Amino acid sequence: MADAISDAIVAEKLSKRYGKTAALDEVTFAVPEGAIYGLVGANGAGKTTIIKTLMNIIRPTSGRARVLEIDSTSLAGKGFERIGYVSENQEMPEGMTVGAMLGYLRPFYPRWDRELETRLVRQFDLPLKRKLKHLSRGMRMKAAFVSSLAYRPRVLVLDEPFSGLDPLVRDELIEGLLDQSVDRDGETTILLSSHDLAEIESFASHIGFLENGRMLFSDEMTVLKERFREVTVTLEGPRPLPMGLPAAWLKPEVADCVVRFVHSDFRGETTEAEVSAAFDGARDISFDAMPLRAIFLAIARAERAQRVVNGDVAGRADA
Amino acid sequence: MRQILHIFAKDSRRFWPEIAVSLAILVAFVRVYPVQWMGPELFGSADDVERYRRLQGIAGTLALLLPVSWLSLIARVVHGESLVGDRQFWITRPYVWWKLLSAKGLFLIVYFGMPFFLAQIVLLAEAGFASFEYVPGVLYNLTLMTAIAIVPLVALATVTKSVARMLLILLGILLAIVLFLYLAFYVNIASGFMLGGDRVLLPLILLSSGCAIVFQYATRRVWLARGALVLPLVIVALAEMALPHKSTVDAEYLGTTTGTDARAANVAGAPLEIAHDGNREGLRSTFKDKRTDLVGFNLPVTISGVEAGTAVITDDLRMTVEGGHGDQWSSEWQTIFNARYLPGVWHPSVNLMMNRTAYDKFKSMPVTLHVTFAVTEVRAGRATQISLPTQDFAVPEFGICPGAAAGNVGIHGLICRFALHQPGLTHVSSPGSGLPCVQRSSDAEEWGPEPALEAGPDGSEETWVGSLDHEPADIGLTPVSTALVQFHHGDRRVETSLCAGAPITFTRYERVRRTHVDLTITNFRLPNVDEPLVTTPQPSR
Repeated sequence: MADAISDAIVAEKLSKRYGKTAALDEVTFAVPEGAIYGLVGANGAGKTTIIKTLMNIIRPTSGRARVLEIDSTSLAGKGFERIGYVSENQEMPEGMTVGAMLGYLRPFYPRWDRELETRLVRQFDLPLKRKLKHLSRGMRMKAAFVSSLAYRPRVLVLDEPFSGLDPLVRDELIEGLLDQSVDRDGETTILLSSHDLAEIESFASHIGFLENGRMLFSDEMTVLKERFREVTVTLEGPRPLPMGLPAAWLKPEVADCVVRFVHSDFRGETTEAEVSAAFDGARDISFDAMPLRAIFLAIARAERAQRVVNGDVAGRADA
Repeated sequence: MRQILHIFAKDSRRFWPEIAVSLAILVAFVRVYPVQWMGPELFGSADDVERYRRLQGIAGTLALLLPVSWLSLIARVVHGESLVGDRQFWITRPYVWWKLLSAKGLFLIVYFGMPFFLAQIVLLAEAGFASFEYVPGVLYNLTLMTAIAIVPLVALATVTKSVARMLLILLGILLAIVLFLYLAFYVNIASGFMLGGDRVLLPLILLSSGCAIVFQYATRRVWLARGALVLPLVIVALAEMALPHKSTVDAEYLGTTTGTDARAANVAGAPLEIAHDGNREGLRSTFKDKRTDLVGFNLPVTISGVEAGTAVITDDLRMTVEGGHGDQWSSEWQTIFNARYLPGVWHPSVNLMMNRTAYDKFKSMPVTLHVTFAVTEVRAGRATQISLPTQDFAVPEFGICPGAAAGNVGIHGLICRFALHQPGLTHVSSPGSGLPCVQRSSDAEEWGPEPALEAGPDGSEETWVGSLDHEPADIGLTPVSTALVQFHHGDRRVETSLCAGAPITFTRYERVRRTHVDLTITNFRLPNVDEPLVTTPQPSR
């Protein structure tokens, strides 16, 4: 049994600037041990920058991060015996065959599991004698997965691992990942980034949403789904929105007799009473659970609208 | 240690083609290079001479290919785990930086250092030397080669992403050095203080390269490592431009003599005299060089007072011209090449160089000309006399020379070979006249002018070989250096050919001291340099 730590990955006010451009802006989040954490956001949101900072590939401008209690800026050498990293654009030892690469890596990891390696190679149908440079993109990712799963890392960091893969390969890889997580009885913490919500919604236990270098929220998936509700209020007749709506009511819209908004802090009966009071005499009020995609869109649009109000968007564009 | 060997084994497997090519070139080089120290006369027929020339060409080509193969080896092995970029496979694996660095070092020791060392030993043996006696010198050469070439190349590889980028930067650095040297010596922006001595520049290059390598492997902060690599060179360049010019000649020659006595005492206390030879004014010639804006003229002098058992070498000179109203101009130190004088009275000419502005200022008036000669006094040591054998022969403290091959009438010169470096300064002479086997060719011009080749005072054939200063080994691809010991007779430069049995004496000279001798000429008129060119100017500094 590994040493118990509450959070496998912690980032505190992590910032990275390139000149005047902020790639990360005081990002704070934590990944509990055993979680499958999905880091989502559009292209350029800062996902890869966070991951590279965590892996000590680049240094933060300010703030700090820890992976398995090791400060990210000190992460090197033996620290990587318990950490796996796979990236969509990682350079591989192209001249090696798959078998040679796995054979080369084996002695670096005291906990390398030959049996698991064999199983994964079979599961992914990897050609051991073929050089990496002659493999398709999907096969290369599979080889990278095997080389990072076979030593049963405590933390596995994946940067857009499924990007550009056909659905079959993607499902195979997800299956391999989940097997690893289940095999390890939740001891493997997985952080993976993606710009495609749908591909991680089905298996992520935690989710963090990045936009323009800022973490808009970071939460457990079940909590997140519980917190957000699409509220539809049907009124007796058309009337304007009441003034001074709470900040947790996102994207309020009025169409004829219907008012719609997203409630970002749903608390059951308390919230229902609060909404009923705000729309006194409403004919009907419904609170519907939302898919992850709808939640993200609502948050992103609300955030964008808020920045326009603050004049932040213009400021960033200037920068 | 396991990780070091593991990475080393991986690199050996991965780069075996590069290793094989490098070793093949080295083996071919060792096999072919000895032709460089054989004279064409050792090949009998015309076909053999043709073969000799072809082999020489191959040896030269291999000598060029060898460093290229090492450069390729270094670039490939360092870039195998590239330190530049953020996508490399290995940077998120449990590599320990100093083990990775050690593995690369081990690779270079095994595939560059050891083969190079063995090649040196084999070449020494091929040249006829007892190789193992020279192991320290060979190691010294290897160390120099590593410090001057290998470590900087490794440093360059650590801060570049690909071989192409590395070559491009290398080319840029070479161009920058050429440009700086041009500015230093022709535009005269450099003090010569740091460039002049490898005691400053080379350790600085080694230190900066070493720091860049370690820093880069430890932190992979490319721009800081590049800064560490370039900063010392920038400091040297700036220091060169900022420091006042001070030639080492001042310290090495003038510092040894106290007082201002114009005629320094020689070893035995007798006067060494350099006097103006006014009787040979008619021989005086002038020259000018538009590129450097220098003009110059020959000054005939008489040198006497060299004590028996010693010789004098005039190394440098500096001139001061004084005009009528207290105006004066002094030159920098100017090098005098190949001027060595045994006891006797000698009548050479020395070249004096002036800048055009100073010349124009003083050319129309009588001036007082002061010339200070920086001279080295040397004393004869061990002398070895040998009757020229037909086979190779070894001269103690000198080297190995070829004998007069059987069947040959005579040899025009001895291509002697030396272990690790050129020999100490050695005077080589043969009685010449009266020997039945000595012949002289009238084909004099073929060899061109050589001021060092003089007839001895007793009419013997003679020449000088070697130098007074040398390190334990000269840096080079081969530990065997060669020199043509060619006998000439007198100012007519008639080539002499010796046959078996001719007596040859090798006399080693050691430095006694460095000093200076002054010459003052009053009412001197600078010759008209704008007349047609008469002689070729000697290089100066």
